[in-house]
Amino acid sequence: MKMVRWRYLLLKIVSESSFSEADLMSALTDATRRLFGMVGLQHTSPKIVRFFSLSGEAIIRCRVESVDEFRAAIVLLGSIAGRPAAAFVVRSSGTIRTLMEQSTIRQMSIL
Amino acid sequence: MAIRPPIGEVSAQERMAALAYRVGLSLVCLRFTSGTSSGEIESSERIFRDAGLDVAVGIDISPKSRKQLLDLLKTLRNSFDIVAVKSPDTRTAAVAAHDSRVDLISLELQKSFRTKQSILKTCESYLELELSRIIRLPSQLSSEQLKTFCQEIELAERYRVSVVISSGAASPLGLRAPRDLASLATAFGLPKESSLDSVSKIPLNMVRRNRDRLSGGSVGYGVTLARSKER
Repeated sequence: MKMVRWRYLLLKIVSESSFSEADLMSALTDATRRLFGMVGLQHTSPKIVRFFSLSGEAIIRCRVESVDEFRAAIVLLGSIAGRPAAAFVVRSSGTIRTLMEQSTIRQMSIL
Repeated sequence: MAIRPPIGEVSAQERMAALAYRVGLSLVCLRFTSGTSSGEIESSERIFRDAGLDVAVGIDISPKSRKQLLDLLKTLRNSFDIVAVKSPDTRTAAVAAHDSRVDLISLELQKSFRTKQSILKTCESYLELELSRIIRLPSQLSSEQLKTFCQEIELAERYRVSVVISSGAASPLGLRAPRDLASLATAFGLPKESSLDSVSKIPLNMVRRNRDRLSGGSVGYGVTLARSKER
């Protein structure tokens, strides 16, 4: 059986109100499904692996071969929990550790 | 590339500038309409420059006739790094498409497929595709809007017109990361290389070339002034 290879993306989320991890997951899956359908969503398999509500950042895991599709879907994310929002990929990496070093929370704790 | 800063809203502009820097933009083109005062332009320019970004200033013009287009180009070309034309009139859009003073042309206001085709056949400017056209109301994103977008990409590819993808953001929530924009363009049918160029190489070269031209370093297309006779 072929092993699934993952890519991790550090996302910066800007929203007019606070939101939960579940809200973000729901918005991400909706955006992916809207653009690529259920099959595309299945191929992408996005999952939140870390969520930093204070800084509005999250580390998302998706399949290596679907990174571009997932990035495209993120562009179309316009609301989270019914409130206007936007998401940006700040950095992508093959490991969570690299992204943790890039996240604002980590930088703040070092300082 | 195209950011339309909310005039008079300093805090919103500061947030946009900080976010633009955070998402990896190095160069932004602030776009204004012809009625914007030079003080407001300079203020916005300063805010974005203070955030660590290289700032190019552009102007959006929407001429309704050929004469109006030529008059606007005559007066505005030498004052801005980028001139973008979005005309509701087909003939004016066609004239703009092969005028070398026009950098970007948008076909947003052209509804017919054949019109777009005839304009792009002779187009010498870059075709600008602003994501704000489809991310304005994501909840109402329709297949029709996506179809129009894909159609323009397909036509640009067919007639070898280079594409520039921009967010067209007017607020912090309208901003998008350049790599994400390129991925969306790839999903819409633009080859991956061209998608990446459309958010990096093409806009960068365009700004460099125009800055060179405005500073008097360039005499014509591909001709650079190496040395001038001292008087």
